[in-house]
Amino acid sequence: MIELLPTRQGWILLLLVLALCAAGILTIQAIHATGSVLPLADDALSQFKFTVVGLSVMLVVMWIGYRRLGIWSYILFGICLLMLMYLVLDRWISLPLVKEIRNARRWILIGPIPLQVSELTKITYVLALAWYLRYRRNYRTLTGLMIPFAITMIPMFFILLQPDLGTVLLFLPILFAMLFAAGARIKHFLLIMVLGFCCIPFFWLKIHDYQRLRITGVLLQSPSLREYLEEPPTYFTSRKTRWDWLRPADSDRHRWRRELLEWETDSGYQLVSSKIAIGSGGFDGQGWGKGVFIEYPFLPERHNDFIFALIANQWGMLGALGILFCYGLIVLIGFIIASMTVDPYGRLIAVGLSTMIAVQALTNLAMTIGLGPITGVTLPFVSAGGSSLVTSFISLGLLMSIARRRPNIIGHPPFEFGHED
Amino acid sequence: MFERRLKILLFIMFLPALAIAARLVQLQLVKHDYYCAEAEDLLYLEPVYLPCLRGEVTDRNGTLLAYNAPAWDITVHYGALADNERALLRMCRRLDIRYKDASPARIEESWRVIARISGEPVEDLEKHMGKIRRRVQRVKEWYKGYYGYDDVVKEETWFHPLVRDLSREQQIDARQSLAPYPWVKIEPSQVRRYAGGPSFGHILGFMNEVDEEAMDNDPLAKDRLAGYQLGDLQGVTGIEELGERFLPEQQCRWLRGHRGRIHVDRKDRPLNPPVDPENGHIMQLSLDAELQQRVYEIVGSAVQAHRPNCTGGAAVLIHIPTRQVLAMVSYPAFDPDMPYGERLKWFRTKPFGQPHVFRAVAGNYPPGSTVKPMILAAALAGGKVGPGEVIYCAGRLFPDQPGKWRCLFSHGDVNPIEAVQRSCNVFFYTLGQRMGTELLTEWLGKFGFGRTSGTELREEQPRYLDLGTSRGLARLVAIGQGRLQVTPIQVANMMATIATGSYQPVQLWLNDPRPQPVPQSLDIRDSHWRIVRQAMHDVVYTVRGTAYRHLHIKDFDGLAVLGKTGSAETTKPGKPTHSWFSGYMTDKGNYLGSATLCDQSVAFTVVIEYSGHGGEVAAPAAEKILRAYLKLFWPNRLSTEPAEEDVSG
Repeated sequence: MIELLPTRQGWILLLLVLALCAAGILTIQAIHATGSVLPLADDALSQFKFTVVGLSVMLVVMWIGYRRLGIWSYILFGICLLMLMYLVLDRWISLPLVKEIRNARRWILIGPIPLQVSELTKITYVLALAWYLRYRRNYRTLTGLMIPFAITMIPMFFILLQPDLGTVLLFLPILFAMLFAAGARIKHFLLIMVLGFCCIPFFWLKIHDYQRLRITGVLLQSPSLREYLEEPPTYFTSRKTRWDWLRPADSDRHRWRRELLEWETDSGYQLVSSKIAIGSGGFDGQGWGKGVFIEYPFLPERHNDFIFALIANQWGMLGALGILFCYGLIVLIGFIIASMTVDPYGRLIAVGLSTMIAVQALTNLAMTIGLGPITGVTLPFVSAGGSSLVTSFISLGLLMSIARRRPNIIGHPPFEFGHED
Repeated sequence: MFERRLKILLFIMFLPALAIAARLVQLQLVKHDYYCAEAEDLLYLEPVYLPCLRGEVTDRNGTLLAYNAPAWDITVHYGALADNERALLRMCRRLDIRYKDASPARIEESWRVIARISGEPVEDLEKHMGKIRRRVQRVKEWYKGYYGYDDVVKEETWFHPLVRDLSREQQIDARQSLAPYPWVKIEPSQVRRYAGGPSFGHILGFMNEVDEEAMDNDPLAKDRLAGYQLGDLQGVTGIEELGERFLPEQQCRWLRGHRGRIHVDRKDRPLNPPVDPENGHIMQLSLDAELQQRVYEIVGSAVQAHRPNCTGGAAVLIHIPTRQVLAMVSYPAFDPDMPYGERLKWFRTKPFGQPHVFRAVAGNYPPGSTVKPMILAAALAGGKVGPGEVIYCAGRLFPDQPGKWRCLFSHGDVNPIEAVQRSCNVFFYTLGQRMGTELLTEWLGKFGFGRTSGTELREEQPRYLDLGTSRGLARLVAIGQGRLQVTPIQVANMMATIATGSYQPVQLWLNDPRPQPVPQSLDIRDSHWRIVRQAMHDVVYTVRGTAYRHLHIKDFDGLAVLGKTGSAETTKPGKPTHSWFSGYMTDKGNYLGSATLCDQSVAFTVVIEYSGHGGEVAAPAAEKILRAYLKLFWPNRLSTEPAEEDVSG
């Protein structure tokens, strides 16, 4: 049972995570039952139950220990890939146990519980990649990077077909962070990044209109830009302009103009409302369970992807910075755990999972405040949703397990290539 | 190296976190007030306007003539009919419709459904929509002119009535067929209904949507509650229009009330204090519905009896002491409850007698001999003829021009009384020649010609006095021909003026809150009035009087009828003359004195177009009208013939 006792870092991690969970549950409770903390409303109660389930899963993961998962990591990753393929197959052949919401196939029904496969894939991907990288050094060559990239591209490809662009974009930062931590050469990164940037126009042409609009939404927040773009087409302006690339592919000038005209109320509505919610929160916020955005459903997905807007609305800048600070600490502790362990596998997992949490949180926060495109990325530990919460707790369990199993042998710490270069 | 790389990673992650923190500061501290205002704006709800009822119109006894009935209208959101992308988007947002669902094709489709339900062609609907668009555009222009910038005006967020007053079947059909089009609503409204039948056809008038001119000139334009709004109905003609006029002292329009308003936000906090709606005032007319109907029938039967030459007639009855109009009839007329569109269609079929003309106040007639008592009074007052002066009538004015300036007979020596009694033209040619058109114009004006008589109806014509300058024209005017054109109500009021010795405009609106005009005494000596009245008395009561044979009024108990017949020649060759009979009824014991003190006294005018001699056609009709008046108002003043026989027997 000694495995289940967290270390000092573990305790801090747990406290931070519980604080985040509490913020989430309280906000969900505020939406559904204005005024009182107890009894918990249905949604808040189910979030609470998921938190308890998540904590239990965390304990199970701690009990199993990340080392024992190591040999299973390829198999687990393989199962996840198979499930992803199963979901993708459903696009063409109607298969049982697949839950489809708004033309996206992301859930497999295990009994009554819908399991979001891509969430689980993220974890198993980190495990598999770490397992692959742990004793190698060939990734310090350009050809050696091909396998890690392949491991990344396969799930990305399947998830892209679901489609779930937000989750897809998480894989690359995790890969880069793990390779970077493992000691891959910076010049290779630069090369890959240059190649990646070269691919961006290709991607831009390939993605759907609504995805394009989400990305351009960051720019379209500016009313003056919208006004500039929405100039009615005349003989002289019907020629191509330098802003034409912003336009969705299958949209002519007229439709694009209409899109711009209704941006604030249609594709930009969520972002505009979110900014109003955050901005009206002020320094110390409206107070728990108070404010326009709690009482009226002006903000779509306010309990889920946009929960941060409500937190910032209720608890103001103090609350919002508090959340940011919590994530900062979680990532910092994750990295401390990584640096404290000498097990290469544990190190890579800690870096990967910390990066995952950090990227997820940053993406979500950026989208909520209008600094990034709107993706379906949830805020770990805070947003409503079982799969996301349980996955986050699995990562937490793994981190705590790594912190727990600090090998007491004194050996050569891995990935120390500096003196050789 | 590992730890260094971890630090680099941390630093890389720290940068976006810093950006996020900076953005939070920007949103929550720097622009906090702006976003607070935006959040407050989200709570804003449009004010709810509560409709008010238009005032009812009643006759002098309170019988309803115009009232409101519940109805259903098809209304359309401005966004759908605006032909403007921004307005359409605004509509989608307000009504929570997806933009795709409000495609031009679907909007077109909804017009076709409305056209099918209402039975109006789509082109007509489009014309109507064009009207609404133009009006909203005017409001927008006004707004821009006033505030200096272009903004969304309220009218752009409203549902505008497109089809009014649906029948029950249409309403049910519309509710079912128009359900898929959220920009179309079936809304309760009110429709104006008119009672009283054709006898009130001209007087009550009709309502139409507020036009641009009215909105531009609306003194209450700044008042959202009392001012005109697009889609409002306003009275266009008749009493409806009269009740629509702005009364500066009362700061209102009499028949229009003001809307109520509830303006709260989503949290039910009042944004403006609530205002209760206030209905329009009741407008009481001086007319008597029953008498009006009787008079209409009497004139109608007289007209019908003289068809095909006769094309119509009119009659007016004025209560002399108060100058209230008791009846004012134009025949033929139309049912005021007939929808305006149908009425226009009917008018275009050229029905008998031009029913759209309100003859009583807008008829254009030469008065003929009915004007002679007035000319005599003026000539006596101006010293152009002595009270006992005798003028010789040889049947023509100039012996060397036998075919011109003729009289009906050769009357021989006539004094003023005989001249009126026998309607001697030569006598009045002479008077006209002596007076000249200038003096005639002056006196005609004093008796109320050339100006409106005081009904204030929009239809009323003043018939400007432009009598020319030549002596010949003056002669013609003196016998009520030539360039003199009058309306029946002017003649009736002239008779009331003769009866009382002073001019006063008539009163049609009984509970008019404005001060009533005071009588203007005419500068005519009492002895001269007596001569004129005696002459008019003799027209009826002496054997030589032109109306003597045609009036049978012995049963009028204690009342005398003084009058003057008229047979006005018209410009249409070969057609009979207009038949006039005009005069007044007063106390038999004091018929030479002023009629002001006699409560029963009424002035009357009957004109039957192209029907012959005044005494033959108009006088019997006038007698029937007076009889009907007495029967309704003073039944005890009407002793029946058999009763007299019983007494004698």
